[in-house]
Amino acid sequence: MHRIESMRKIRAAESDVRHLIWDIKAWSCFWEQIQAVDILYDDGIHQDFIMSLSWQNRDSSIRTVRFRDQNGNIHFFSPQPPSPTTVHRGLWKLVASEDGTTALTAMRWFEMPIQEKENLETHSQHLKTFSEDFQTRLETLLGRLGAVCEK
Amino acid sequence: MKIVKQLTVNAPVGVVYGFYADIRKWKEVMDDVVGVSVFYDDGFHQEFDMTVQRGSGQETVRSVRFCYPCSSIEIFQTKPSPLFTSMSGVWRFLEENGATLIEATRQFEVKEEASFNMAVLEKFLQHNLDSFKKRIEASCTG
Repeated sequence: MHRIESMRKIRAAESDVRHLIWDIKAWSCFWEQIQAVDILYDDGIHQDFIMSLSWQNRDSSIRTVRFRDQNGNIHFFSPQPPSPTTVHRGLWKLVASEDGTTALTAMRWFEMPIQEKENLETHSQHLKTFSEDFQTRLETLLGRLGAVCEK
Repeated sequence: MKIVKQLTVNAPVGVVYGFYADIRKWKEVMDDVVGVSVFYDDGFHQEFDMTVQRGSGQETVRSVRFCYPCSSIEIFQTKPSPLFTSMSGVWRFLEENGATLIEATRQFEVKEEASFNMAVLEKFLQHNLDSFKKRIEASCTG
């Protein structure tokens, strides 16, 4: 399992940051790849949705299930993961500081198995490129989330 | 609405967790489970349909579980039993001098309170705990 992680300190209350993370329909306002979000289930603690997005120059449909734990952190996995991953899961960890800011850490785990047309060398290169792009996207997403919360 | 039940199983927490986490084993453990169809299982997250015998009929519910090894299993139903508008819960596994205390919680909303019998739901949850205790302790004594 491969893992990436990024952290950003946001000048906003923990509850506001959590609310924006949970409000997945609002994401299209700051994440332009999102074309539509269809919420299948949401009881405030558990959420199941399908996100249609334009990603890597093609249209993708990702189904994700999220769970907000007792500490207010949000865990998720994608039964229908983004291509080319076969497993995609993650965690949004929120830690409030006394100065009113929130440290938001995004962790992602994924599997990207070797494809038929790949050899070990080309797969390793693809994996490296994918991981770097994923890391960049995650950092950009954290920046956008932070900017909306700090408005 | 919420119900909580506890039971101690004389087995290590890893063994108890393992039985609960392996959803394919439920048919062996619970006499009212007719079938389980697993749609997704990455070792930590699962989505499945479970069909159970309820009186003379059968009921199928769709569930998602978040599994935290040797600690807890969180569950919610995206397609609950017809009686409920929502159903979720958690099993917590607590080590106690080599044995395991299981705490099972269910939170739910019923469609029509008049036709709901809390005692029946409590009986199903107790049956779940009793069935696993019996099966796990039998496996530990060989």
